[in-house]
Amino acid sequence: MSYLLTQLGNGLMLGCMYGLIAVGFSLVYGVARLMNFAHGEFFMVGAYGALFSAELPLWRWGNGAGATMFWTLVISVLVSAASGALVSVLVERLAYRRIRRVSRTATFLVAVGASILLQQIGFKVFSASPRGFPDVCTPVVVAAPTLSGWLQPSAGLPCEVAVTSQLQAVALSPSGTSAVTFVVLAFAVWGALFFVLRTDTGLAIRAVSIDEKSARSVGIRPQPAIVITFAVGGALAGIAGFLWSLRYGGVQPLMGFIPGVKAFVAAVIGGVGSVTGALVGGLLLGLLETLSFAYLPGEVSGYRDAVTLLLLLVFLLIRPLGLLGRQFGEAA
Amino acid sequence: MALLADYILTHLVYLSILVIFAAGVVVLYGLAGVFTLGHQGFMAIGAYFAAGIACLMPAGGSPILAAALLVASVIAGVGGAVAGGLLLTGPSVRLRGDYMALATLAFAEILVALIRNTEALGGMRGLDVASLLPRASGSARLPILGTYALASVAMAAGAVLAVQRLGRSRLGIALRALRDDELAARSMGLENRRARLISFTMGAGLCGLAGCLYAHFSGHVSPRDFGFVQGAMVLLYVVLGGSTAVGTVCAVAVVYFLDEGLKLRCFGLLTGGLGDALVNWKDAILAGLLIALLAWRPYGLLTANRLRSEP
Repeated sequence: MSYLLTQLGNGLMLGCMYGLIAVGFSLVYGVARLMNFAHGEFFMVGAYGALFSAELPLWRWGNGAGATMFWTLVISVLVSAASGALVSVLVERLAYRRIRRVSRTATFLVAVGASILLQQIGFKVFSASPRGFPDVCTPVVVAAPTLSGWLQPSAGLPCEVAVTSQLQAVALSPSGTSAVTFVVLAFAVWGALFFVLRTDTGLAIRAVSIDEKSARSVGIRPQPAIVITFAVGGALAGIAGFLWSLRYGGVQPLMGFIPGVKAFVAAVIGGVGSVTGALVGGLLLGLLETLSFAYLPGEVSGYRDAVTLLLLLVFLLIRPLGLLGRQFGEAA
Repeated sequence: MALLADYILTHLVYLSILVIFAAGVVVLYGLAGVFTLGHQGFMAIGAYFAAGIACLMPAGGSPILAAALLVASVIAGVGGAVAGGLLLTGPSVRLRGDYMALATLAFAEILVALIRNTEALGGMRGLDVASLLPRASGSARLPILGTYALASVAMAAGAVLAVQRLGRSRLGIALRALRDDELAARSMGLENRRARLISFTMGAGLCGLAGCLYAHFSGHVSPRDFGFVQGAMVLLYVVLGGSTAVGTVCAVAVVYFLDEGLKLRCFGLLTGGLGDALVNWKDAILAGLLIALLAWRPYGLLTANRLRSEP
């Protein structure tokens, strides 16, 4: 029973991370009608931003271990959000803005190009070897099991394998990391929902995504709305990147690809363009993945990605608008 | 000199295979307007079917058996790819634009994930293809390579001409009409399902053929050869080529020239540290250049920027 509860908790957190990435993807698709394939790379950049800020001794201030940890975490979250948002806005300005209205296929290919470009820059600047995240959460736990050995990804293993073994490890040992992840996730999800559903800016973004012409006619300028959407989406992906690397380690330039694709699927399952839908889709996917990993025999776990994609195919055929999606005005 | 000839001939074969692959995508994307991200899946089917049939060759079998197996492998590869294409025809009638792109992407990625996890197909390591034709090696390397290059260039030229003619035929006009305005075309009596059936058969068949040739020439197939990025690159050639077969050949040539130029330090013009930096940052520079090319000419390198309906 407690095993099931642990697994449910893990699935919840994994799902929330997928959800955070998917929300940004979904929002951007809504306002800019653009499948932002580079979204997973914003996640990667956020993870690196958090890694560097957590490693800098500059931030080790405050009185006592608890305060130090608190400030390190706060600053890591802020830096990851800021770096994700910055890269996102830069990509929008440099790559998408000119071409977005001209051709959708070309825009998609530009997004693929931007994704490859960011990965390559990551390889050159940060090197290809995966890096573990420093154990910034230990002070809150009274009797912390030694997780550091598990959190270091074994060098040379492909990312997927490393992540799988860590999923198992984290699943069996409660730790401060889980608590921190849970709190930050809760705040980020609440913040995203609050921003989109309760603020005037969020209202403007939703207006543009439903009907750009009508939004213009009531005085909403689409371009700033698009830039803000990119910034928010990038920030959410960056925070997800921080939490992901905190929990599973393995910070490396290609880390964004698989979570990016999963978020893609989550966004479609929930209905592209819908914020709550993206969160629901992410949760569904995270729970499904964690539970199938926990309860199915090991031989089938290699087919996990295939099953995720099969789910996408089924949803596309049966409910192409997703669980909570609505029809967008098709550009004729 | 022999080294240069070797280099040119080998690259000619791979370029021809790429052009045949791209011709299939021209049918799918350029003519029928299917936003496809899964054509590398058709190529994978072709390649793995060809590899499977080639494995039936016993050691020291007669040349006649080899020839028969070669023909059988091409038929099986193309047939398998067409079957994959037919599988996607149904969804393609119902799904539009981005959603079709996701469906085709899911199709190809599921296929690759299955190959990766199936030990009988070699898994991640891939599969060695038994050679049905003499391998180019030793003293006879250049003549054999030359024959292969000639044959594959002829096939690529045939594929490009066929697709070009298809575009101008009644069928091609019907396909483009359905692509540009489905409602209007249907009101004129054109049927979407039939058009999709034909275009998926032809497009997937060409991709499968390219896969067959790739398997036989390279002698090794692995899931890594049929990844998403490879597929997206071919779609990029087609877009840069203005969605026509001949234009696509030009785009392939331009991108290949850029890529090789970067690899060879601007064809030897840059030496020292700058050249090293160029080779080191090659992929990043190429990605940046391609983004710039797309932003400059989103409808194709030779197509003026004007408002045009697109799939």
